[in-house]
Amino acid sequence: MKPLTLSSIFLTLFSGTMITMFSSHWLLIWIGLEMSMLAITPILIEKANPRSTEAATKYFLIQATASMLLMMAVITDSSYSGQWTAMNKFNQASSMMILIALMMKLGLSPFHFWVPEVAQGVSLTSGMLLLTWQKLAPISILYQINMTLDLTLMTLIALTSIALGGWGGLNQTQLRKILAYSSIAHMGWMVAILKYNSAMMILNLLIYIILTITLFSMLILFSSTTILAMSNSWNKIPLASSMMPLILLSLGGLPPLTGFLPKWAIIQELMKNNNTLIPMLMAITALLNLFFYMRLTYSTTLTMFPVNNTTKMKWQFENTKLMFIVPTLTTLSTLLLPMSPMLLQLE
Amino acid sequence: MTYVVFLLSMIFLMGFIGFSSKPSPIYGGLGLIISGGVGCGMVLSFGGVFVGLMVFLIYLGGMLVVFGYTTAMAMEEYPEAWGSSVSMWGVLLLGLLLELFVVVWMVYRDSVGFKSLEDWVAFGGDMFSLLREDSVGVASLYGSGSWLMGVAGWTLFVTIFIVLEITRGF
Amino acid sequence: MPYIYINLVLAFLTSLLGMLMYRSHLMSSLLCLEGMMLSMFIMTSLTILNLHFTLANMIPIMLLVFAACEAAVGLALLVMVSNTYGLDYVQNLSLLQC
Repeated sequence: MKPLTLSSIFLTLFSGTMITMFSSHWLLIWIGLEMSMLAITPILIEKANPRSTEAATKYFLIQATASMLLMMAVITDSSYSGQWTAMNKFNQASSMMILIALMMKLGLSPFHFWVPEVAQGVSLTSGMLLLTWQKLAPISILYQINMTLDLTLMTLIALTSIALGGWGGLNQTQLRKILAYSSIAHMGWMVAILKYNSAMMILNLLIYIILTITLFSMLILFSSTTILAMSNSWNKIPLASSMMPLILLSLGGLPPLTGFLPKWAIIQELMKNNNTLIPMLMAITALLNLFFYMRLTYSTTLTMFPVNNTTKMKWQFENTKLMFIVPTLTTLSTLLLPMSPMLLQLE
Repeated sequence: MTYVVFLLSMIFLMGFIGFSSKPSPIYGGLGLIISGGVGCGMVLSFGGVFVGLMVFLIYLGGMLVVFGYTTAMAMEEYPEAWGSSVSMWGVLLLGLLLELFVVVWMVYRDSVGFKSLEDWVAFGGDMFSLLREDSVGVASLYGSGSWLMGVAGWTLFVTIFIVLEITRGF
Repeated sequence: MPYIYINLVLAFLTSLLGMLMYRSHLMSSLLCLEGMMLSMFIMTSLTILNLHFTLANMIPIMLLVFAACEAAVGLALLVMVSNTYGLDYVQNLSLLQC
């Protein structure tokens, strides 16, 4: 893409999400969603090949349908109440339709099938945008309307999303699909805490975004998209390869790392509200996620696959990719746990 | 008046059933055109002259011409009409029966019948008002809604680049 | 409950169902998207004209603008898909499944 086109498309993408986040009028919220959906389509199809075409088409169809559903719910509600404010108290049917539309947009459990496919079809950079930035706008709508949503339904969605996000990733060898399933599971954690403490959902989103961006920039650094390619990472950049398991385990939520913070806080918050079964189920099904992160760790760092001698020279060459953001992100995604008192005060 | 709008909405729904049962896009486009025209009629009979004109000119005149063109580009030799396959017939009949059921239910649910429709029609026969509120409302896009128009205009502008970028590959 | 309104909601739901059944051409799905937008347009216009929300008359116009954008992007994707696959059947988009 030419720089001018690229910058105007990115401007539309970012300003669309911003419009959604800052508006309280449903029309503008919808306009922001539409803008970011329209603008991400050429970014997804950036390198035109059959896979990216298909991914962009699927993404477009799903998101357009979800937008229509959202607008329909808003119109139905406004014809009853006569107003378009997002803080409005909905009737039941509109609230349910908005929830369904947002689930389609976020890729939550019964509507999650598009996420791995779309993520698999696009390039790593576009995939990073897809799994991080595109979550912001729907999540901010959820944050705004969380008073009107149904608690039982939200818990059910959360549990199934976490379980399916773990389950689906078990059999995958493609890293983008694994990351997509991990995204589904994390969305489940966010939805689980939404009704109890919506600020904690934002904290979880923030940490999820940091971790995902770190992992994606690592993958861009190694330019690898499969587990097999990751097993050769030790002879590309050994230091980054040794940081890889920490990031993965942080994404899985193991204690001394950053990813533990949102899981810990969410489980504690749910326990405070007298739920014992739900956090237990969530923690157990998160083990499925942890399993494939562990497997990824195993083949990336813990073993040294046999390779021929010529590829062992790669680490001596100068790295041409300029990833100056990787060290900062790696630090953030591994060492943020001691900051937890401050982060938990933010709510 | 209400009766006419109700009949129009029935035709509107039938057009929708026509293209939602997914025949070949040519026939589907026909259904959408019928629905668009009838929808314009509904808006007109509620007094929205300018908005009705807008949907007729922009929607039917602009958008569906492009749709027709694209359909003609990707046309197969024997297009699939509604009578082509059993499933198509089934879906169409199912939709029409559903519509029939709804109409019967709506008419016979309360003994008053169509008279109770009046609560939703504001304009009635009073067409002597000096102010066409819909054109005034749309014209306020230049005034109080100027930022909205800016956003919409920018999006339309960027869409050109988006479309060009999408189709540029290969 | 206004009866015209029920018909419009039913029109939207038929169109949504048509969208969700991906049996046929991608073009038909795009037509269904347009249909959803058309029914929403008519519904907002009728509500606004009925309740005399003068300033809210820009809402249907905005819907129309974004429907046009969506239709344009959808058609561009259709062109790409039929360039890639030779056909525009939605069920042919199965390259990324696993």
